[in-house]
Amino acid sequence: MHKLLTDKAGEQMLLLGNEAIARGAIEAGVAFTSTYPGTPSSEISTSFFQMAQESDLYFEYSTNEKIAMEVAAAAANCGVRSMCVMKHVGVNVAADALMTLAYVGVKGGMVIVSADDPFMFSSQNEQDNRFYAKMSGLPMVEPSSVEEAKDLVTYAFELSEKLNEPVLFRTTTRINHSTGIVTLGKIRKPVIKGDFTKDPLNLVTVPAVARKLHVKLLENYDKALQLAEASEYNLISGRGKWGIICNGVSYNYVNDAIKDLNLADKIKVLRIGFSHPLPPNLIKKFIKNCEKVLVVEEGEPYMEEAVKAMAQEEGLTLEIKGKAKDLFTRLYEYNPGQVRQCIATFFGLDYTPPAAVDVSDVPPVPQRPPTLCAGCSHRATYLEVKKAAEGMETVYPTDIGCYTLGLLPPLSTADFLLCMGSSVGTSGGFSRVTDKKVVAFIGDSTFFHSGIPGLINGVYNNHNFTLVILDNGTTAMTGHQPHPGVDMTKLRLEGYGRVSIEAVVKAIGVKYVTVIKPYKVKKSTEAIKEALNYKGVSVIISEEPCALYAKALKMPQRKPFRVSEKCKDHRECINQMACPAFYIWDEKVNIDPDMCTGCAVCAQICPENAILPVKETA
Amino acid sequence: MKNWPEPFNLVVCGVGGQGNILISRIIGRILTAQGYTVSIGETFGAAQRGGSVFSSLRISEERLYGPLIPEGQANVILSLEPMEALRQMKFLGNPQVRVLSNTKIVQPADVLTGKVTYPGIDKLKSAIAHLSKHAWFVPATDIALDLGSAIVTNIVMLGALVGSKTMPISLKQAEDEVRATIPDAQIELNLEALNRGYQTTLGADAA
Repeated sequence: MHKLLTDKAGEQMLLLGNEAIARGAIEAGVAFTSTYPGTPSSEISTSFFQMAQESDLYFEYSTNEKIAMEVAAAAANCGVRSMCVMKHVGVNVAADALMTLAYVGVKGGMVIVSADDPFMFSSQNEQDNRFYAKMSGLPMVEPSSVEEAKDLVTYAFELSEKLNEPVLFRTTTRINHSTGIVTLGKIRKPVIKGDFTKDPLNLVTVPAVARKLHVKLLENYDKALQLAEASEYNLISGRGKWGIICNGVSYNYVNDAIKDLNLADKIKVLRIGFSHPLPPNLIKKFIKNCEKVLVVEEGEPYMEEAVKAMAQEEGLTLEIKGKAKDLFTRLYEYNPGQVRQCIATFFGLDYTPPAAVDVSDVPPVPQRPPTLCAGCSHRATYLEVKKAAEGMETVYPTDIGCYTLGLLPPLSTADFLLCMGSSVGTSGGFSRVTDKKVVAFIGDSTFFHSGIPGLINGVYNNHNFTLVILDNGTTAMTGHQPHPGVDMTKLRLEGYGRVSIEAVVKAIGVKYVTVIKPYKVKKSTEAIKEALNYKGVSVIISEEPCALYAKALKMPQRKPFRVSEKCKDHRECINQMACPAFYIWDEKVNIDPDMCTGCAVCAQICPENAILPVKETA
Repeated sequence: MKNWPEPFNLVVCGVGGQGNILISRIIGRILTAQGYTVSIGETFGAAQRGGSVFSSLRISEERLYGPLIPEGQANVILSLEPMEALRQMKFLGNPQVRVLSNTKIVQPADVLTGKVTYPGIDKLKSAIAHLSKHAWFVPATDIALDLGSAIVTNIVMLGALVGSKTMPISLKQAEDEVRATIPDAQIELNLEALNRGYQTTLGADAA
């Protein structure tokens, strides 16, 4: 049995934040779950995917976040408790559905997880999704620890059913990807089936209906305010004349700092866990008894601005600060030392940070950015596109996935990136206003997610670019989730359809479509050359399973390669590919047989044919 | 924690794909079972492959600590790659820190293409020894390869941590947790790796 289905209330488990959220949903009796995978949210839905295979839980990997929200919204409108899970930028994709779902509301509880990523560990921006709560008018809750994340899910479902509207559950990477002890609660039996009652004058958002529903949303906002005022997740601790208002993971750093700086009798803390709408009476009462107040929140000054406005309403003139030159930044995630320093600065405490390690005698430590894996088929495709485009002036719009790492030298095959699907859309613009050859890259899962409308646009508006679809048979970057192009029977799962990328591309009307096997360097390079010379929209589908995934699925493995004595140290292999299976030893190129996957791409570009398969040992 | 700092801060670091998450979870579960409150902060995701990664473990008898270790407050650094140990020591180190590091180096892409120079294992070892209270250098990858698979390098390092007696973990507890965590077919290999790592530091003088 899946560990998160354990029906032993009171048992303690060490869980990842994301597992705790999934467990919280199970305890709340969730029956319908959906997602498009995105770091840092992915393990929530991986857990649902696994549990759905051995319980009544429904789970789907939807094509994108908008669809994930729509399927879950429909289930919730039939009275079934539903959850949809996405990363912060996924909410942008789903925002069209979200803004009007706020008007329509739900019958059964619906919780929308928005996993924000301050510092952009795995994201293209660090937008603060608390503003989605403000913009949509929907309630939002935020946990400060792994254990609280679990309990807060049940609270969010109950809140959703009290207000008949979805609740936004916001996390940050530091909660999603922390591990902590969780005490299991009782599992509420899920209600699997619902029913839909026709009610078009409340559910079909034509203008006349929407005008009425907006009134209802505002009435709900007032109800939510009352609930926020009374919520046990807006909690006050400590005592003193100084105040700190904080949320999320920062609460931990504030508590650490209060201990380190011996401030237990000087500072009281208001931790906001129910963050939209903010509770004005609670906050006003809190700040009235303070000489000065510091707001500790990663991201935007969402609470700070609200608290200042509340102080103005009360005619209070105490100092309230958060984001400032000498205090907190809007940038990145916070760390304990930074929070301690800002508390000391704001409250005028005599404090010296610990002496930095003296590294004057220590050698510099080179950066180690993530790289494409040994044997990654993307590396092969990039190499071939560069060979095929030799002598051409190129622009390489890229997209969201492992393959974005083509950015780094020596591959340098990424020139422009906005969001999921932008490789295709931006190609049209680049090719219209420049005379450069535009070659765009998109992964298989991203193509389904939002590449298809861009390709239709390219065909319709007769743009001139080549789109390379990097089909490695999985959503690799987020941990190998399936997508509509995957043969699910290979995962021993029945009851799924399958969509062929090639058939979709042809049906869209692309006249030049070619499929390559990227480990065949010469043949692929020639095919790419032809596609690049085509005037109009051409598509290359590069098919080869993700090397890591192939290993995990126990697909047949190739023999590793070695550098033989024929090597004359041209270093073409390293300088063109920089595969991590290479290492330099005694000034010579070597291949680590333990990392080499036997893709043989380096062997095909070696001018001396010096790279050979490792012989069987006798 | 009697005889241990409160809270106890452990860093597990290395290169993405080396298995630092697995051993930080095993350590976390062993300590949880003993009644400690454990909080672990991690960097991971396939997007971290081949990059610098670390987990921070905060272990307490008193309360839940935040998942990140404040600068300069690591008690032990367990590293699957020597340059990564030094990287973490620069921010989290202090004169009292104890360090256990694998000796197998992993060259980043810029080192391969000759853009920057890898410090070299001897320089790294002396820098790590110089900046720490005690340092143990363990040929963990060599031991793992000797056992048949580099994949158990992380478990050799876990064994080395237990043998160094720098944390309240017994060999028996580590063996039990490895049995509970690792798939059946791999248990013997992993137990062997654990024991070989344990022997490298048990009673050994630190550098």
